[in-house]
Amino acid sequence: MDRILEWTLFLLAAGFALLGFGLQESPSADFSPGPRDPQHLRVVTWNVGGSAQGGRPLSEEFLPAVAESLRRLDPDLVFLQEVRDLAQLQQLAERIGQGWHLRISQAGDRRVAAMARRGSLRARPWPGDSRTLTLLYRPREKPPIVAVALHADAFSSRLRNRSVGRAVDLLSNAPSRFARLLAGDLNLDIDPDKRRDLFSDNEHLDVETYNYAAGRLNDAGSGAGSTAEPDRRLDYIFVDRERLQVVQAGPWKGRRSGDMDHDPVVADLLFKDLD
Amino acid sequence: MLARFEIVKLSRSKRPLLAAFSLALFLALMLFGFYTYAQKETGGQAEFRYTLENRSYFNGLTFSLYAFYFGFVLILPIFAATEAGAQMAGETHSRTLQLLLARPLSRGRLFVTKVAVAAAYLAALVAAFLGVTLVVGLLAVGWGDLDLYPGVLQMTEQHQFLPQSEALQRFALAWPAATLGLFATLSLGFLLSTWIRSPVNAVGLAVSVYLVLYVISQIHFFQDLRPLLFTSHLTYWRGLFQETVPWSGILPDAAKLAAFSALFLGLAFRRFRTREEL
Repeated sequence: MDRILEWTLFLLAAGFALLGFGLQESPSADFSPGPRDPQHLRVVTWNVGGSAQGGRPLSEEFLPAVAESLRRLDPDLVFLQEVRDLAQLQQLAERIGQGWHLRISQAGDRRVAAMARRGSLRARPWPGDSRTLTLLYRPREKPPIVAVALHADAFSSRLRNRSVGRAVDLLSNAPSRFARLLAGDLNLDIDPDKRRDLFSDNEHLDVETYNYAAGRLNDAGSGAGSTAEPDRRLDYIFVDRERLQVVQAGPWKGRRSGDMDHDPVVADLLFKDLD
Repeated sequence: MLARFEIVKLSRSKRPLLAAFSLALFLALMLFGFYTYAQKETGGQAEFRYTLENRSYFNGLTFSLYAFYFGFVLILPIFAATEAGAQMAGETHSRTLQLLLARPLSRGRLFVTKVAVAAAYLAALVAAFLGVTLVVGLLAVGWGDLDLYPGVLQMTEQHQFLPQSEALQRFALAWPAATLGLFATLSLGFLLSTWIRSPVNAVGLAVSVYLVLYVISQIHFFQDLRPLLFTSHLTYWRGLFQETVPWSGILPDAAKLAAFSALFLGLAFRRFRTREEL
């Protein structure tokens, strides 16, 4: 009798294990952007810098690969981080094709840049901050967009809180005729399945910052996985939840070259009909 | 008869009283921390200027969920380990187990009765703790809807909103789900206390093993080990507090916890069946 009980318990263990591991969801396939739909607005953010030597701007040798990825994506609006200078941005634009409007932040060796086509692009630097650009994009036959391109501090959660918070406030105060967009390398990693607060006290501080943005804007790539090494989600496209619908969004894997440590994050957006 | 005897022994021991006292102390400290944190974060004193937290976010349901989560991972497993240690190693050490086995009673029946009584005690403890946290939340913090944001409790990766009535239903579902999680810890305790005859050592080892496995399951470095540790699946009931319950994630985790429990109990019974009582 006791042996039956013993074997029943082991059989139950095997049965439940089969059930548990058999029912487990298979990991979802990587996001694949596909060709751009002319009805959609395609937005890309990409930190194109490298991780070698403690971090460096986009290397000339990787310029063709970055240009090829952007050419295939055929985006309307591109946010780049860690571009060396305007000359490099112009080279990149020439490789992708014609008709780009280019804007870049003023100082530093790793700059924030924006590229747009199928419409006009104006930029205003952020006073005292070379890692942020305020943009006004007027796509043809679509409503205007006010956007903030941002590369938040990699080392200080307090500085990240300030830069992201100010950007969100600026967008929140923009006139209602504009759709709002915040994109860039925000350096916030708050994946709930990867506790980092056992090592650092930054996570709960970054959570505050993330929530401040997510409470006002829609996190387009939420749930689509990591965007940077090592398995971290640092790059975001936050969009106006009233005016823009997220058709699809996520990191496009396999597009890095050499020591580049971020994937391009792509979002296809549709303007909501407010009438 | 045997079950009644085990229940009488449990009720006459001081373990339920000690558990109730510890949980009450924990709740009081949680309440104090909750009040002071909310005051600081919403009173304009926060150094972090941009924060979503406000007074409407902190309410009785948030308090109950936070208190229950911390209690579940940090306090209740200690009682599970203690109960298992008392049931097996404790009775071996005090020689009451030998007296029971002197009667015409199979070891299987004795083992099943002890596990069933301990499991029922844990289920009652979880229900009482959950009920008290909700009552304390209602009286001391106030009702409201449940708003969850991504945070240190790892509850969600995006904002979740549950109206009060629906949130209460989710709390009711969390009771059996959390009890299953604790049952795995209880089973581990039974396994260790069939090998170790000193109750202090059995409980100490069970708590240590639980804590080591829990910490490892939380650190991203060990992600390949995670599926093999029962502690990785313990807080699966957090999914019940999503707007759309992710059953496809919850059910496999529940099955894995049941598998770990059955395995630990199987090994524990094998040892109990074959060992010699001195």
